[in-house]
Amino acid sequence: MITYLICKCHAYESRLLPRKLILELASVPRLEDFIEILSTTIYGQRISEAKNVWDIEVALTEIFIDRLSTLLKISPENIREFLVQYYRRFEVQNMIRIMRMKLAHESMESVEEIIIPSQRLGGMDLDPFVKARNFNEFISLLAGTMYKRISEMEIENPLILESMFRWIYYRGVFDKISKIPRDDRSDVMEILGVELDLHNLRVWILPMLYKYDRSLAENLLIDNPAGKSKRLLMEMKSVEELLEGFPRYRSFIEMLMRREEWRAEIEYFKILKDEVDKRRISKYVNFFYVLKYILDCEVEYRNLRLITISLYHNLPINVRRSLLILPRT
Amino acid sequence: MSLTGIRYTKGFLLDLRRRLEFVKDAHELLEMKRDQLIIKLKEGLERFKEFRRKVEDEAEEVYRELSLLHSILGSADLKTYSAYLRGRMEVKIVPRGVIGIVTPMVRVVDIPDYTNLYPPQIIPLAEKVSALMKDLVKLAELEAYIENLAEDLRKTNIRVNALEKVVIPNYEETIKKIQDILDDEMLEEIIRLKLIKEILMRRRIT
Repeated sequence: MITYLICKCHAYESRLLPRKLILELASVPRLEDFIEILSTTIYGQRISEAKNVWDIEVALTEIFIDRLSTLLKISPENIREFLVQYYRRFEVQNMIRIMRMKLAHESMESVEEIIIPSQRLGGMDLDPFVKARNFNEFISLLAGTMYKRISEMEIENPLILESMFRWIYYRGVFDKISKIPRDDRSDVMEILGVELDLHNLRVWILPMLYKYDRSLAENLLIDNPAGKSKRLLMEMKSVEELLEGFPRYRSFIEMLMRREEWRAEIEYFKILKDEVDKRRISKYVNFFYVLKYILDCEVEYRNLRLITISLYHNLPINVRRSLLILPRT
Repeated sequence: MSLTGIRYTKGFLLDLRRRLEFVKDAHELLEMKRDQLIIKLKEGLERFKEFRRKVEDEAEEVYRELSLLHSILGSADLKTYSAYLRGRMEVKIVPRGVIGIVTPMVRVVDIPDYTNLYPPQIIPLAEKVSALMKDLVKLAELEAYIENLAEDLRKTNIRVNALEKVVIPNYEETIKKIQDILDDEMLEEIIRLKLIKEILMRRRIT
């Protein structure tokens, strides 16, 4: 069964847009041209019906979630269990978004607008959270979920709550690693470790660059069983030490040092993509390839969303193209 | 403008001359104020031009960073980041006198703090927006200062011109007129006295 899933991923991969087309899309002068070209691809009718940037963003999200949910349908039980937990990253993204909106006293309608349909990825029903009257009700609703630890805490800084959501998510994913084939565990662990290393680096640089409280940054760090430990990171007191301690993420740290957070966000995905692509050949018929396909789908989704919004903002072609998450040549 | 209540007397003439001296002094002072205002206005405009260019660059940079962040994070995430904003920017406006002109001075009393509050992705943008807001306030203050200066210059100019073209010539004209009449009267008096003297001489001889 898992072989079927892997073969399917290979087949689905051929439906991803080629690099040349992504570059072509990033070079069009108007949003209408973008829609026209994209309408001739697998994105077809859903995109052609889009009237504005927001419609396109929604359509792209829908297609992205469709792609991920298809994998769940064809996965064997144990893999499905892992994937559902892995996909909870979108649920966590939703929970964080809802929490922020509740803090800002936004209306239910505006909260609904920004929700990714994570329920289709095996996630829980977010309706009660969306309908929560206020932030306190939102927190109390967490009691009956896997995030109940957050409801038991008395924390005022929402950044810590965000970090708690992520911590619970990663702990869950690491717990479910046992559900995937033994051969792939170390590679999947390593990719998750890279994600956490980058997250922790970004957090730990806050007191150095932006004078954030060190104690707050310590609370925002997430345990990383597959990368540099929290304790080791906390011993690093300067950016130079970070550069020495994390030579493979040098470019990422340098972007953070230059305060180019937006560029660092792209670099985050480039590093992940590089790490995954490195194992592409050796893991050609392994479960790892499924993970690679999932990341490729996310990268394509992000690239298309990026082109859409940058066209809306009239960013120059060279800037648009430089923002794309493309494998390094 | 013509002077009213003119009396063709020596006393009135002396009074008018004193008043003309005073008006001329006032004119000179206003001219000095006008020159000073022009210098201040030129300096202010130069500063304004330079500062405005800086603020425009800053605003452009903020918009560029916002566009980039929007493109990379997407609309939904960007929208939710704004939820973390706490507090409002508070300013206090106090009057300040510059060469006799009252102009508002804006003091930033409170500005929302983003430290320990924003997720890393948004901090550089928050920093830039915060700096831009402070500079926009400064720019508004400078604009108000220049407007008030220009308004005062306009009024001073009108006063200088009125004194130069109307009030002083009027005074001078009136003084001349009174002087002429008084001179005529004096000449008349002299001739009259001469005639009387002649009549008296003729009477003595006869």
